Amino acid sequence: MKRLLNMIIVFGLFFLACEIKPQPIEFGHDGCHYCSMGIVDAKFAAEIVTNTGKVYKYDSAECMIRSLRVLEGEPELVLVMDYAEPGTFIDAKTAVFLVSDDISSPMGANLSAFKSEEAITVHNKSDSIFDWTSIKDYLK
Amino acid sequence: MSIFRHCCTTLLFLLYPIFGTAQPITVCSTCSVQSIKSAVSNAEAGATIIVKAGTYQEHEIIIDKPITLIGQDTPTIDGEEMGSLFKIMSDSVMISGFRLKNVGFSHATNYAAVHLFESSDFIITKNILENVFFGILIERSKRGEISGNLISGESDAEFHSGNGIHGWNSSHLMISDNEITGLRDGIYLEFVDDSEIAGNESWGNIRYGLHFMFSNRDNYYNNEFRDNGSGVAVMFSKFINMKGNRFYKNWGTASFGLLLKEIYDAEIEGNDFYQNTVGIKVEGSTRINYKGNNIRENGWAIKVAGGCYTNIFTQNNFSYNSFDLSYNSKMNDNKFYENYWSSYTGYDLDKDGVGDVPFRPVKLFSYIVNRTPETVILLRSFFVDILNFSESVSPVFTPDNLADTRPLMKPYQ
Repeated sequence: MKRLLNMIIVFGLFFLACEIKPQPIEFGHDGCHYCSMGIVDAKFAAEIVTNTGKVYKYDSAECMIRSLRVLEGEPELVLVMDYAEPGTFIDAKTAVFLVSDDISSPMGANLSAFKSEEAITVHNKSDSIFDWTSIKDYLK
Repeated sequence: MSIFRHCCTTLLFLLYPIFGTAQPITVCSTCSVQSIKSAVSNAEAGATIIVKAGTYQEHEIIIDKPITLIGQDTPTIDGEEMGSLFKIMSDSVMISGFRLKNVGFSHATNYAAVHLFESSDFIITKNILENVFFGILIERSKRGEISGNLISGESDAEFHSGNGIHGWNSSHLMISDNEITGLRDGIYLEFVDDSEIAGNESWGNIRYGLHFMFSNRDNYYNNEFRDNGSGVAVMFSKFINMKGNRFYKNWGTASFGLLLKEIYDAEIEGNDFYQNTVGIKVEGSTRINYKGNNIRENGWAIKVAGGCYTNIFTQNNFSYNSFDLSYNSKMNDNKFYENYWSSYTGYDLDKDGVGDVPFRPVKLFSYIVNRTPETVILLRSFFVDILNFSESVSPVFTPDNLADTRPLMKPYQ
């Protein structure tokens, strides 16, 4: 009986590990999968979860987008942190991306992500706004 | 004689405009001027303001003319977490001898104890900065000295913290003999050229002790980086000299003594790497000379990842590291020669101080650990010894030409 229970726990853990869900970023401890920099800024971090449940963490959206080209595995969830609400993930595929000289991001692309265009609080005439498809082209 | 006297008077007369406003403005709780802000607004360009001991609750003190501010017996300026303390927008400003505390925090604005903007020829020296968001923020400025300051943040604020000394788009800075702790990066330099960083002690910071981004022709020497997330990161930069620094005890899953990424033409000489998870991690870096470094008791002495060319390792001492080298790309034209390796078991029959058989620093097991980190628990097992031995007899996985052909028998002095 005890053995059966143990087996159930082991199998349970096995399936738990494969579940496709975002993993919280431990600021100050996790490193960026692409550039090796420590992840410390909750305004810019990003994450990818592949269809096998493997989690990749990034210090910035620009690192996450650049790593898509060389990623092992098929991305299932693509998440970026909301600049207006630091620490909360939003779906990168529906997010609005801002490139502004007023916001310097960790890897120098001056890139930040927002839930919607109305949420963008910084306005400057040099700013440009992108969606998920166009930002990938922009960073090529 | 009279000519001499005449000369003296003329000289004094000529110098008069420089020392012109001879009387400095004194600020204290019983003086006629009781706040630093009013002293600054009353002062003429070139004036000296002496602030006596006491606590001054002030923030956003804007300095828009050349002024020397001297704190006598360490007066305290308390920003009450409302914003920046000093905002300097003029040339030739000096701030010395203050205790600056409680800088405000904001997601949108980088508040600092001292914020320099488009300034030059400034001196910020011998101040104590406590509970800061950013310590000293330098933007679009040049020819400045930042020395002998003690900068600390509240380390429990975790990712809310800013950087101790943050330089952006500046040049010719001299950052020396500061102690920095409890911040994000101790010193962060982005687009900062032709600068010197010397004799600083940067410890207990969340991310890096010192961090270069897109900066060229900088020297850093004789600094100590201890117990940080990682010691120093040099990224996307050219011509950085790193000499005589100490990288101690940077431990953690993503920790390095020194991280090099996309850098060119650097000299890394006479540094001491002691008890770091990874001593040096190198990625995409070209024309780097590693010479005379002590790399001792680290998890990995050096990890080399892809795209490295013309890296030369010579006269370094690799002592008692769990792994000497991890190498997961082509050998390219990187060279290892005349280093001392404590795990070298060869012999020296001709007694010339150089081992007669080459040393292969990459162990097969370090490949396995790179792919599956959990296997590290097998590190001291007999099985792994056999694995490493069989690989060293006939290399299959490790690059055949990755060897120190002239390993030293004794540590390099």
